[in-house]
Amino acid sequence: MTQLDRRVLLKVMGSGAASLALPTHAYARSKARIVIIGGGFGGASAARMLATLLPSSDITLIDVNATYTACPFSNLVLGTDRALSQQQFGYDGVQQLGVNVLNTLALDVDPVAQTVALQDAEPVSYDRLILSPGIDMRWNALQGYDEAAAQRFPHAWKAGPQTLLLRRKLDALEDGQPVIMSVPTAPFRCPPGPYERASMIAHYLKSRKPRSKLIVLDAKDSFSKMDLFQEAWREHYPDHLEWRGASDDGTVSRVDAATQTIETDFESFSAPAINIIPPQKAGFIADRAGVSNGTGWCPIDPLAFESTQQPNIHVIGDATIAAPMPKSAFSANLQAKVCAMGVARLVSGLEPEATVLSNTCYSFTTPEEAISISGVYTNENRSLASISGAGGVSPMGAEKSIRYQEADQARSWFETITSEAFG
Amino acid sequence: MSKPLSIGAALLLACSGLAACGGSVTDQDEIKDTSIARVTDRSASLALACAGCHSETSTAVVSLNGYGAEALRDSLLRYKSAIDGTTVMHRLARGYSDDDIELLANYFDQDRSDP
Repeated sequence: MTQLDRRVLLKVMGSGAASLALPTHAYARSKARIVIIGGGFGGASAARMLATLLPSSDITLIDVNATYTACPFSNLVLGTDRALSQQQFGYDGVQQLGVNVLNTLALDVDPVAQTVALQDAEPVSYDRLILSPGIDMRWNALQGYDEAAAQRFPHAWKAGPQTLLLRRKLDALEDGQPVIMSVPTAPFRCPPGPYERASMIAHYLKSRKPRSKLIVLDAKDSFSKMDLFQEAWREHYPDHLEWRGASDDGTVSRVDAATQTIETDFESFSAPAINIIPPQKAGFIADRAGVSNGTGWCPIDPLAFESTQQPNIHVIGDATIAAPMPKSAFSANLQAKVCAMGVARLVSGLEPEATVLSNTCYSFTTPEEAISISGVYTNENRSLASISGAGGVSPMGAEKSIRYQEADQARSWFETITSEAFG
Repeated sequence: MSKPLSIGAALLLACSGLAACGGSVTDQDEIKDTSIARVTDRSASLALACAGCHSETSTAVVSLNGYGAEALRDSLLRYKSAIDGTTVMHRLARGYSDDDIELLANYFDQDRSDP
């Protein structure tokens, strides 16, 4: 490749019409049929990457929604003036790359016939299937918490109407009334998410309902970026946030929507605004495809994120068992790209190869300040492992400028990751 | 859509292999596709992680375009070896071998010539 070619390509890729300029590549001869279920950070990123690597292939992305509502930054919708529309992305940028986007529900997968059954549409066949189904709630795993109860005690752990419902409950709060949040044991989507949310709700109360207070009831005794969050809470929210861990009777054991109460082992709480983050599992299509196991999550070979239970089916994102990689949008996007490269190699007669993966998650502690956690991982030897000596969290006791910089980086990351996924 | 496509510098550069990938092979799946091998090589797969934050247009997270291999390598090695370094990049760089840093530096060097 000459320098001129590269410059032309850079110029093309830097423009809005970039995708359209990459149509006729001799390098991608495969005509494989690749179906992707789930159009979040994992599925949309995988679709765009594969469409670029394999332009001769037949690539289909299936998601029941025509608009995706992103979870990262949705805690700022709860606690600040950020609009939900800033979280929302369509699939034009996926379609522009030649991906066939079907906004319908994937009902079932037949891993033997290699077909996906769809609501209101003919089944589609695949050579390779990529599942990026995200999470479903485990209804009633917490006693009394079912779909109906989620209308009284929103989880807001899938962004969208639930986010707005929880915000309305905060808005309806009278100054002095309490807010309660329940956090489950791991694993769940976005390990630091509950604590960023606690920060944003506390910020909301401090600025708008100063006599109110958030009580976080946690089924764990430690959590992601705990020291950093608690440092920020001592500084910013000493009167607006109280966290109780499992050994301090923090585990919520039962909820009752009718009486608007929730119970721990020894106490009962009632509040007009209650946020229950319930236990979770892989999205239901993972069960239908036979790629989830008894944990509710999906074991994978991390080389190309192929299911260890079903050949020719790959699973990426929150639905996977990928620890030590967290269930984050960054992880889902990177797993999607690694998976896409692996699938491109597999349909081209090549074996996937090991690489180095990483993750960075930013969390806001105030609307202007953020902290971060990073990890670096290898997928050699068919398992994911942290690379020792790498990774870690923001420094404790840092100058404000560090926190402001990380907030700027967080906003920049959101722009980049959503462009990667949705164009 | 006015947003620039940025499946990232990684993908961007991955695609740069395509000009070398012509040829008369017509069989689709059975023949090893050397062009795919090239655009999915270790450099390209390592760069995927970088592209999650670094894009053509990113500002608070610096764009990697135009730095040159030497500057990128030196910068990554400094991040890797800094004793008190606590930024995201310090924490990440410690996870990469010097060989992989060399691959990444060359990969993101837009003035690089093909071997």
